[in-house]
Amino acid sequence: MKSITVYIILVACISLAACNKYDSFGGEASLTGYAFLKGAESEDVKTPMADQTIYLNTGNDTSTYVIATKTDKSGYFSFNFVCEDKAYIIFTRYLKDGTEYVGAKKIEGGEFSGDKVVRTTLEVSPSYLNGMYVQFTDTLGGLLPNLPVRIYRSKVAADVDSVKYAVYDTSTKTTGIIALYNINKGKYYFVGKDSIKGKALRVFDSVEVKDNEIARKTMQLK
Amino acid sequence: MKPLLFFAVLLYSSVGVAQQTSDIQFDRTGKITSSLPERFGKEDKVIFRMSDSKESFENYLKNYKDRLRQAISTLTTLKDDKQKMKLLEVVYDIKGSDIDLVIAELKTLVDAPVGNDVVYMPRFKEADKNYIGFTLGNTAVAGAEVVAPNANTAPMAVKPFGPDAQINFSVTKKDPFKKLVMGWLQSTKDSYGGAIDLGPVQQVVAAIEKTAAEVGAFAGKVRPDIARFTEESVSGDENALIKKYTPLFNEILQQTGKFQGQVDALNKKLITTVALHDKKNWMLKWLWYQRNQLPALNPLGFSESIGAAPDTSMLEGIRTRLQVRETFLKSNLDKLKPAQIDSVLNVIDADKKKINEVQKAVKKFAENSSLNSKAATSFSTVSTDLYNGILYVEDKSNIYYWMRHHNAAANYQLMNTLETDEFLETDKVVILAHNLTPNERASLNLSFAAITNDASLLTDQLLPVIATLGSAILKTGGPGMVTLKQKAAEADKGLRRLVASLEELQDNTRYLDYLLQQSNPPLDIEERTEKSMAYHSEVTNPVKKEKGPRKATYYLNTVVLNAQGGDSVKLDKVPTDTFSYRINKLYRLFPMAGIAWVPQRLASVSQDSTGKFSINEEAAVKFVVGLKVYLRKTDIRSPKFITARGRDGEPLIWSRTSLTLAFDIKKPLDNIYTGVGLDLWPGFCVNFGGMFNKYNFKSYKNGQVFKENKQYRGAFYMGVSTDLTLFAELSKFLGF
Repeated sequence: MKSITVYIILVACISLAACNKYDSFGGEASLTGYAFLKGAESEDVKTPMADQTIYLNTGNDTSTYVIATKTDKSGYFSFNFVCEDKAYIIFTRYLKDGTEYVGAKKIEGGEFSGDKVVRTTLEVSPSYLNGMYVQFTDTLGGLLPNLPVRIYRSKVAADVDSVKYAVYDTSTKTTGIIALYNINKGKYYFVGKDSIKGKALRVFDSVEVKDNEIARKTMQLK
Repeated sequence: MKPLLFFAVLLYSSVGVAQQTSDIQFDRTGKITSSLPERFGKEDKVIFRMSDSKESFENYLKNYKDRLRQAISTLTTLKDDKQKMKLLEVVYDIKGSDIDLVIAELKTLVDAPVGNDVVYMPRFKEADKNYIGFTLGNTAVAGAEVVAPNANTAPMAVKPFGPDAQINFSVTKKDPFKKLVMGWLQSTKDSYGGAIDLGPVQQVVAAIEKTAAEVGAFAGKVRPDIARFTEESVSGDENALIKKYTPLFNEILQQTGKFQGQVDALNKKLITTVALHDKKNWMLKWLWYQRNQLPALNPLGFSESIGAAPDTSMLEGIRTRLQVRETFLKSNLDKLKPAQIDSVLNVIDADKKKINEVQKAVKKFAENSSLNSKAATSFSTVSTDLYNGILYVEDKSNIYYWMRHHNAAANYQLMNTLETDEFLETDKVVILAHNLTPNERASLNLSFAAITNDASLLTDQLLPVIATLGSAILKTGGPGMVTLKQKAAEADKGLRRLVASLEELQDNTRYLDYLLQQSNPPLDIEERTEKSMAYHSEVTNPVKKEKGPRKATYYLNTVVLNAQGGDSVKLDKVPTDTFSYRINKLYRLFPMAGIAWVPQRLASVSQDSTGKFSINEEAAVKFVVGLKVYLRKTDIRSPKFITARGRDGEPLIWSRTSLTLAFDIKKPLDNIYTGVGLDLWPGFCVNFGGMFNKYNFKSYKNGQVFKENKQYRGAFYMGVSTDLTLFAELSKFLGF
């Protein structure tokens, strides 16, 4: 009877030990990662995400965090004192040029290697609400980089190609693409012209941008 | 599951307390020579033994055989002494052939002293070899056993009877030889017949005295006449002589005949009076025991009483008369003539002499009476209590009685088998003094030696005492003569015969003399046990519980009681040692201090002023101070390991297990430790259980504290602890 009493007391004491909210941070393992930035498109090149804050939280919640660290110049970061049998989520979120960049990676318990280190990557991508993704090609479908393009909200202005009213006066990237995100909804008119071996080529087209999607279109220069 | 297993192992490994059997030894005087157990449990047992190489049944056997040989020698000499044999024949009808039968049996018994009794003497039995008795009293089952010296009794249970924790033990030695003699007296007393009556003997003596006086006077009167006739008859005138002496010799002859008849009758009566032939068997059965050259009717050396005390009734009258005469003499000294003064002085001297004689007689009677009484006591004292002891046993309420045994015969040194100096407050300590002599003492040595030797000395001393009971020796005498020649010759012859008869009568008076020295043996004397000589034990302190913790210091002295009134005096002895012991408290609560180790990492995340996060771990080891609450009150002075069993056989683990509440010394409320403490040994406690660490939990959102709360988190901890004092000293030593 007495032994049972003692045992109950012991069990009670031990069970109380489960109430530690920092119980995921008392381990001997470490979590290291490489954070990189990647554009919204698959063609985008990965670039190290330097000097950005990486957050760590338990579970799946990325709305709050318990601890944070910063990536180094090469995009590497590390969390120590984590437990190898716990589940974590690492994430980052920041605004740059009006665009939110986010990335999150779930680390499940058991992913740790023998030296109690888990190595992971964190892909950070811009988080766009809407936009347009327009690709310019020649008649044969070849991409046209550095193609001067003006974007108008007014069709009239676009018709006359009055640069004064152009929203954007830009050129296609090396990928032959013009991508604009988080922009006002509405119709956008594209005017692009160039001459190849004395032959004038021109494109006049439009894209309808909505609130919550990225409009995609390929425009052919003729 | 693991804690259960741990407890199971502890319980299984606990070994029960075995029943103890203690061995208590005594020497031949009854003194305890062994160490004594400091405690008796209810189920314990005790074995007694008199262990002394000098005490052996063989000693008694040897003495018995020596006595038989002595008897052979004495009886052989007696048989050759015709006078004594004549006396034995006249008085008891014992002849030489009877003596031969006794001698033959004596010789048989010298060779085979153990066996059944023979006709004329007793013999030791096999059972007589066991004569040391041990008893255990006031116990649930009384123990009693009689064993041989140097032999163990069977184990006797010491379980007390009733609520009393005190039990008694005693050692009694039964003298095998005295037992033999007492038994022989019981079995032979019927052969004694009735008691002898010395009244008729004394009547014969009186008659002889009277006749002798008359004969003496008569002889004295006629002897000159006979002598004168003898002288005159040589040359005198016969007719004249006849005329002159015939009437005289007729008278002498007549008177001589008369006296002769009286003497013959007296002699016949004497022989009849002294004949105690019904005592023959008795005498033969006690010849082996006699040490006198002339066997006595009462061989025991003492009688039931030594007769009436001297009459002192006349003393008062004599003293009064003496006083009157002395006063008269003083008052009239100048008026009286020298002759008158001498006359009064003579009377006064005579009175004083008389008083002195009576007083001497009274004193002598008292001495003889005392000697007789001592001899009787010595004879009947078959058993002697050698020790009356006291011990204490755990009582029904499970109170422990710790005995501290001290040897009064060895300057009160401790006699304990184990010298435990610490006891619990729930216990009772009994300080016992053993080997105390009765009344202290010096008197023991005197009385012990005196009484031990009394048996033989008093027997010898009583012989003259009995002799005083004898009456005066008759001495008479006188010549006689008759006739005128013939008558003178007849008168002379008659007178001579009368004288010869008187001489015979006188010779026969030795029977009377012998008989008057005899006394009836005290056939109904009862066996007794000498109780006044035993060593004893005493409880010297009030047996009660004392609140602990305390240190008791004490010493013991011997006190001797005066024989007169009981006033006590202290013996001048070598100063005794001073002893001490502790009364330990049983603790329910006891403070503790030690270190606690938390195997689990208790991390906290913090952010500095630059916004940099860091993870901090609580120190795994912390110094703690707290309180232990024992499941059962514990003796912190016990040296036993936790897996051992307590003195009641109960596992110690319950009194070594405590619920603990401890705090971090530096930040008491930040780290609270609760759990269980196991005192492996008192003062070395292993602690484990749950600890509660207070921490500040912050949840961030967008670089700001999103949620914050302070709360306790639990963890398992282990640690070791000791008492505060030791911990403080250790801390100082280690420079913490």
